[in-house]
Amino acid sequence: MSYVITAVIEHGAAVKEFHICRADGAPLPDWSPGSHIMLQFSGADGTAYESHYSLIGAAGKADSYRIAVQREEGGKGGSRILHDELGAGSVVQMSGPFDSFPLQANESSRVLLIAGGIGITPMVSMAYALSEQGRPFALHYLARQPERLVLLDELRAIPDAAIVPHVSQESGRADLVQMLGAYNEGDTFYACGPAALLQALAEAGAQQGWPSGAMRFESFGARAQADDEALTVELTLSQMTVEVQPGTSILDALIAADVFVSYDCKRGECGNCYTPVVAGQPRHRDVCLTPAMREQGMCTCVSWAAPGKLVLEL
Amino acid sequence: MSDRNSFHPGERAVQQSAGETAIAERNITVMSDTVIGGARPFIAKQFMAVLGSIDASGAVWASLIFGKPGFMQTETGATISVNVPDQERDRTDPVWNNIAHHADLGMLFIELGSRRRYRVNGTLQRLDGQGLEVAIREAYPNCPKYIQRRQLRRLGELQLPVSAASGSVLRGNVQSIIRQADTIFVASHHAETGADASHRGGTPGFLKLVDETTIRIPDFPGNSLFNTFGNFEIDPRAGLCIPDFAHGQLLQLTGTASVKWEQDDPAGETGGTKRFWEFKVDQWILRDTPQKLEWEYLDASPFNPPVQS
Repeated sequence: MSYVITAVIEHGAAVKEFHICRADGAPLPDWSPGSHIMLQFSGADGTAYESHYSLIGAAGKADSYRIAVQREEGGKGGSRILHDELGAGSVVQMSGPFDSFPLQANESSRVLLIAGGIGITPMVSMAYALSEQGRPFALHYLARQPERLVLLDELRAIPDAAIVPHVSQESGRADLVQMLGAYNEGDTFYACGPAALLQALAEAGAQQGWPSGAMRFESFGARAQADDEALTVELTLSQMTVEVQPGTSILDALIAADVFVSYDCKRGECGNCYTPVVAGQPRHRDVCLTPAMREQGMCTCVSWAAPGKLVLEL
Repeated sequence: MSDRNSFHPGERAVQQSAGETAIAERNITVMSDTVIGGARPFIAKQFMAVLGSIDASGAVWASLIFGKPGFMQTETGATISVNVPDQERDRTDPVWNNIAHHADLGMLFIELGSRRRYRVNGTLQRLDGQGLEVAIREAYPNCPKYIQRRQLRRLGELQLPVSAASGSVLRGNVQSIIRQADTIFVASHHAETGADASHRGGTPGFLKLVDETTIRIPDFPGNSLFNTFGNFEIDPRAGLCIPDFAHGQLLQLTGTASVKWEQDDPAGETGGTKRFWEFKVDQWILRDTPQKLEWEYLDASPFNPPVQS
């Protein structure tokens, strides 16, 4: 089955909204708040891309899905193809929606939604759903510049939504500890944004007594950094040495070498690939470990290490 | 890869209640029908395995067996052999009778010292005077969370018979083993996907006695597959094995489990899931381990949620 882009709406210079329908015009599957789809499309040079995007708008029945895509200079390039080469009438492939960032049904609790930049996308459907269910919530929307606060008009039109923008260029960095406040039973926050923001939220939450299960993260974007250098990873238990090149995660290199490892999310969110570090200096890029855990180990799925040798007890 | 690309209705129901179906879909890809290459030498060097088995009445038991490293082998990854000759089997452990009647066997290879574990569900295809061989149905690595690190200092010689006691209410010594436990093993069963053996760990005190026949256990965030809870949804019979590392004893309990959702959890004892399960005991056996084991406790898992006394 094919899908087609039916409309493109510009939100400032960097973000475009795409509307996607089935090519035969039939209705799309119902979706739930926080869901995402996977799009597959090709560039003019034939390169194939596969990218995940949160659905925006009010969840439920749908004849078309809406996504908002920020044009990224780095990364694998899918967003540039969508922005520069695709438009209304372009044919794409789609799978999903996937409900991997669900809004929990707990009506008595305090709910905070926290978005960093284009991380606003899954929060839109959550805000609609909370409003519809009559559950009070606050949406903190963090961006560097005011023009980066896309979809703000739509958010402000949601009934009973407390939308709190934080523009760091105007008022400095948001105080996350104060934003979260002390944890009370039943409190939950949902956060989506760059890994650095999510890490800072995890730390602020830990300071304020938030249990890890009450902090729900959806991360996106590449964790690799331009100055990452090749690593030599020694495994004390398997008695193996694995060379890892930038662009491949340590975990993927271990899996490829048939090392006995456990893992689940591959996004630094679950901690299942947590591995004790015997020697070396990890550069932590997960959003799930506490400082105490980081003293002993690391998530090999997203984290890297200072140049040289990294010795893992694996 | 596995021929198991879907979940049984019990697993699916629990995943839905927990809102974790999408994560389960993603995580089932780690399952395979053979032991991955990297885990084969791991199994061969283990001195301990957890077994989940079913007795003639359908009751589920969890057991721990020990042997010199090398006593378990998987060359091809399709079957695992366990070499425990007939005269070395401790008959006070129900597992030996159980597998003679019921071929489903859950196996967990867990190295407490390195927090590595590998889970295998299989079917007994040979049981003779030398040992047994299990054909693998599904196999997958599990995460290192909630495992307290302990290293085996010394594995003593086999001494049979062992002293054993049994009962049906949780009193005295049995109570104190439960109260002090930081490491337990749970077995469950499903008619189609077989028996399952799994680990649960926490800070001492994470097991609470509700009354003289009931233990309450928090359910921490896990891999979202819900193999154990999924089995309970269809067949609530469960087995627990609680080692007393200091005194060289094993407490094996069989009974039924029920999952409690959306429980009050002001101290965060579930790690945020608000799920507990209650285990109602029908029968317990308290045995000495057939080999004397000297353990050295290293440290607790940094993932353990707090315990409220």
